[in-house]
Amino acid sequence: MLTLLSGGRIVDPANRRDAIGDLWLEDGLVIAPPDRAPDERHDVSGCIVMAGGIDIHSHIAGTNVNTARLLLPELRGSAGFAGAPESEAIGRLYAAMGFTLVVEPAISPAVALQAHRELAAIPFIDKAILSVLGNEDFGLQLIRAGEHTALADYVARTLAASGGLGLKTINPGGAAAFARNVRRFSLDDEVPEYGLTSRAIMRSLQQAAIRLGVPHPLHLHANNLGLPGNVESALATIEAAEGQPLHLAHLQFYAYGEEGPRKFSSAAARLAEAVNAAPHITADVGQVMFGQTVTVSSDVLRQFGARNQASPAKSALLETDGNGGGIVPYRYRKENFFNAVQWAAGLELFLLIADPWRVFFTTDHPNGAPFTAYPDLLALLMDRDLRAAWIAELPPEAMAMSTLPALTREYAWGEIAIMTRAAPARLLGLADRGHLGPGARADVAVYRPEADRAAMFRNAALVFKDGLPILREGRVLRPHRGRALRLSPGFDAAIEPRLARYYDATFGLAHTAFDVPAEAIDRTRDPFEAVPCRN
Amino acid sequence: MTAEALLAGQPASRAAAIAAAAALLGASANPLIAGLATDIDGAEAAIGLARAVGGVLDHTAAAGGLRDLDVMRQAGWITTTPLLVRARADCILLVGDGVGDFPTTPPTLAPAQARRVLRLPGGAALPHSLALLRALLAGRKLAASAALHEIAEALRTAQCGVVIWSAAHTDGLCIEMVCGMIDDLNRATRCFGLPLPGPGNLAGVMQAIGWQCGFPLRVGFARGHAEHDPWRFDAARMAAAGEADVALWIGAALPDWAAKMSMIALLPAGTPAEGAEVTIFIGRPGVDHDAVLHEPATGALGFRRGQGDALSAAAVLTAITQALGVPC
Ligand SMILES: [Zn+2]
Repeated sequence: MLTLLSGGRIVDPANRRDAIGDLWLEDGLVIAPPDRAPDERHDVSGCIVMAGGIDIHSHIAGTNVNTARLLLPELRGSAGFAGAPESEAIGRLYAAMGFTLVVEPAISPAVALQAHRELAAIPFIDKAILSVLGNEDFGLQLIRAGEHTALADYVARTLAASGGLGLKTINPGGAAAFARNVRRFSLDDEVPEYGLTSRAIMRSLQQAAIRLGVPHPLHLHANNLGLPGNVESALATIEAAEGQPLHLAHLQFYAYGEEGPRKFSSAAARLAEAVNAAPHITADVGQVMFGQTVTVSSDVLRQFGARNQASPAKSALLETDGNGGGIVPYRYRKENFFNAVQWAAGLELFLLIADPWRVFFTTDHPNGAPFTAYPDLLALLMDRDLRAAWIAELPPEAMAMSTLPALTREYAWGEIAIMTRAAPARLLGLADRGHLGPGARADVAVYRPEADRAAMFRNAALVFKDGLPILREGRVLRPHRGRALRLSPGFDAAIEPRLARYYDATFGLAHTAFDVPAEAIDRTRDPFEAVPCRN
Repeated sequence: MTAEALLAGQPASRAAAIAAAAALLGASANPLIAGLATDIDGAEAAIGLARAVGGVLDHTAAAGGLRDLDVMRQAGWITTTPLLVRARADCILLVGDGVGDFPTTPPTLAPAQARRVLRLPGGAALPHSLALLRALLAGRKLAASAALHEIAEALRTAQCGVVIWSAAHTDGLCIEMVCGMIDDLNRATRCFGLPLPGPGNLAGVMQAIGWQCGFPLRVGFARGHAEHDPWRFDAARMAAAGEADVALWIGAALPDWAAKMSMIALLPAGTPAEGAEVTIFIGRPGVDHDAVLHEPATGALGFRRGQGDALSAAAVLTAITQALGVPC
C-alpha cells in the first residue's frame, strides 16, 4: 500500500531535513516520492512529522519489573500509571507518545526467557533487551584469569542465547561483593575472593563489546548510585573509560555533590562539563519527576540501602549468582529538598550537555519517574518559562544548590528529534531507524502543535508503525505487534563445552537451560529481528 | 480408540466440545476459569478467555502463593534462587512441613566450606519456636532449647544462610516471622529466604497474570477490566457461595466443588471426568507438547521440549475464545 503524509513539517536531522513537505510510505518503508497516486492520503499540514521515538533505557519487562507489579497492586491503574504498568498499557501508552522502539536495559541471562515473553506481550512497538553480566562467578573467573578471548566468546554466546541487543553491567562487582557482605563498593574496591576491582571488570567488558563489534557501547550502571558526593565516582568512571566508547546510564543519579548546609547539592554542571570534554562518552539522564513510583534495579547493594526510604514501606530483594534485583517503592515529593535537587540536576544535564547526539532522553522508567511523565519533561526542555514556573514551586534552598534557575536554553524541534530519534538509532546501530530517508522503516510520529506541549506529546496526532497507522490521538486504529531486536554475534564454539562443564558442576544444569529459542516466545511468527554486529 | 472429548460423558468430537464450551461460557453470568495448572501459553490464553467472558481467574494452589505474596507486599522480603543455594549456601534451615531434605555436600562455589543443614519442625510449636529464634538472634537472653541455640548460632555465623519453607504447609504468621528474622540477620551478615513454589506451575501462572493484568492471582474481569481480590475471586469460596454458574477447569482432576455448577474440564488424556458437561482431553505441558514452565530447579521460566505435538490447553482456550465471536 502506498501512503502519503502531505504538507507536514518534516524534522529529520539525520538527513539534514527540516522543511514542509511530503512523506511517502510503502511496504513498511519510507520511499522517495513516486510518480503514482497514493492509496491512502493523510493531510498533516500544520503538524510536526518525525521518525518514531526510541527509548534506550526503560524497565518494561523481566522478573524484577514483574515483581514490582506483584508487590504493588495498589498502584496499578493509578493516575499516570505510577507503578509498573501491565504489558498492554506499556505498548499502547508508548505508541500514543510516538515511540516505536523501547529497550529494556537490565535482563540477567538466567531470566531472559521471561523477559522475552513479556516483550512479546507488549503491543504496537518494537523492543529489545540488554543482557547483564559482570557479577556472575563464571565471568569474574575469566576476567581474573586474564582470558580476554574467552571472555569475548562468553559475552557473544550470552548475547546470542539471551537475545540481547547489547551488553550492560550494573555496579560491576558490587553485587558479588555484597554477596560476601561488603557494604560499600567503589571503582577501585576489590571483590573479595576474586581480587578484581570494579574498574577491571568494567574495562574487560567494555573491551569485549568492542572486540565483538557490538554496536552499542558497554552500557554501564556505575558504582555508588544515589549517594551524596557520588559525582566523584562518575568523573572517575569517565576517566576510566580511557577514551573508549562507554554509555553511562541514568547519569542524573550520579550528579550529586556534598555542598550546602544539608551536604547534598547538584554537581551536574561539573559532570556535564566532563561529558562535553569526553567525546567517547554517551549518557542518558534518568530524570526525576515528582510523584509516586517504584524503583526497580539490579543494583542489589544500592536497593538494600534504599529500603529504609521505601514508600509505601515494603520492598522485595533477590540475591542470585550475578546481579539479582531489588524493588523499592518511592515517592518523589516537590517539598522534599533532596528530590528537588535531583529534579534540577537532571534538567541541568539535559541543558548543559551541549551535543544532543550524546545525551539521551530517559527517566530510567520507573526509577526517576514513570515513562508517562515524558510529555511533561519534553515540555520543560522546550520552554524556559515553564521551567521557571516549576522552579517557583520548589524549595528555594534546593534550587540554590543547582545552576538550573540560570539556564535559558530551550530545545528546538531538531534537537528533540536528534535526542529521541536519530541519536538512539545510531547508538544502537540501527541504520533503518531514527530517520525518514528512503529505505528507513516507516515508523512515523505526527504531532499537532498546541499551547500545551505536554498534551501534544502525550497523544500524537497520528502514529505509523511499519507503514500502517496504528494510533490517532491516543486511540487505537488497528492492532499491531512489533518484534524484539537482537544481535547474533559469532564466537568460538570452544566456549560451549567449557560452559557445559561449569554449569553441570556448579548448578547441576545444562548450560543451555536459560537459552531463549524463538519457538519458546512465539510459535506463530518469528518474534525476533536480527541486527548485525559491526564486524 | 479413546475419545478426544466428551459431552455429558459421551464421546464427542473436539469441535463439538469446543462449541459446547463456548455456548456455556457465553451464556454464563459469572464464569470461573480455575485450576489453571497449565503452561505460560495456557495462562495467557486463559487470561484472554477470561477477558472475553468477564470471568474470574484462580489457580488450584493460589492460597499458598498468596500467603507468600501477602508477606512480601505487607513488609517485604529478601529471597534467593535454588541455584544460589546450591552454589553458595553454607547454612540451610528447613522450616516446617513440606520441605524435603537438603544434601550436606559443600556449596559448589565454596567447596572448602562445610554446609550445615538444620531443621525447625512444623506443627503447633512452630510459631513459638520462630519467635524464640528471632529473639535469640536479636541478642535476648532466653531459656531456649539447645537446638534453637544451635540454629541461631549457625545463622549468625553463616556467610550465606538460607531459610527454606513451603507456603502450602506454613501459615502466614510463620512466614512473616521467618522473613523478619532474615531481614534482621542482614544487618550484619547475609541470609536469604527460599520460598518453595506451589504445584501446577503456580509461580509461572502468577508471573503471566502479573505481566498481562498488572496483578497477581485471583483476578476478575466482570467489570470489563482486571480487578484483583484474593478473597472475592477465590474459586472454592465462590462455588460454596453459589456465585458462579459455569467453571472451566484445567488440572489433573476435577475439584471437590465440581458438582456445584456446570463444568468444562480440560484434563490429561485418560483422566476420569465424571460430572463434567464438557470434557476435552489435552496433553501434559512439557511432556506431550513443548511448553514454557516455571522450573523449580532454577526458580525461573524455562522451555521444555515435549515428546510430541499433543493438543495444548492454549489451543483449546484460544479456540473457545474465537468460537465466542467476541472481539478480544
Ligand atoms: Zn535503569
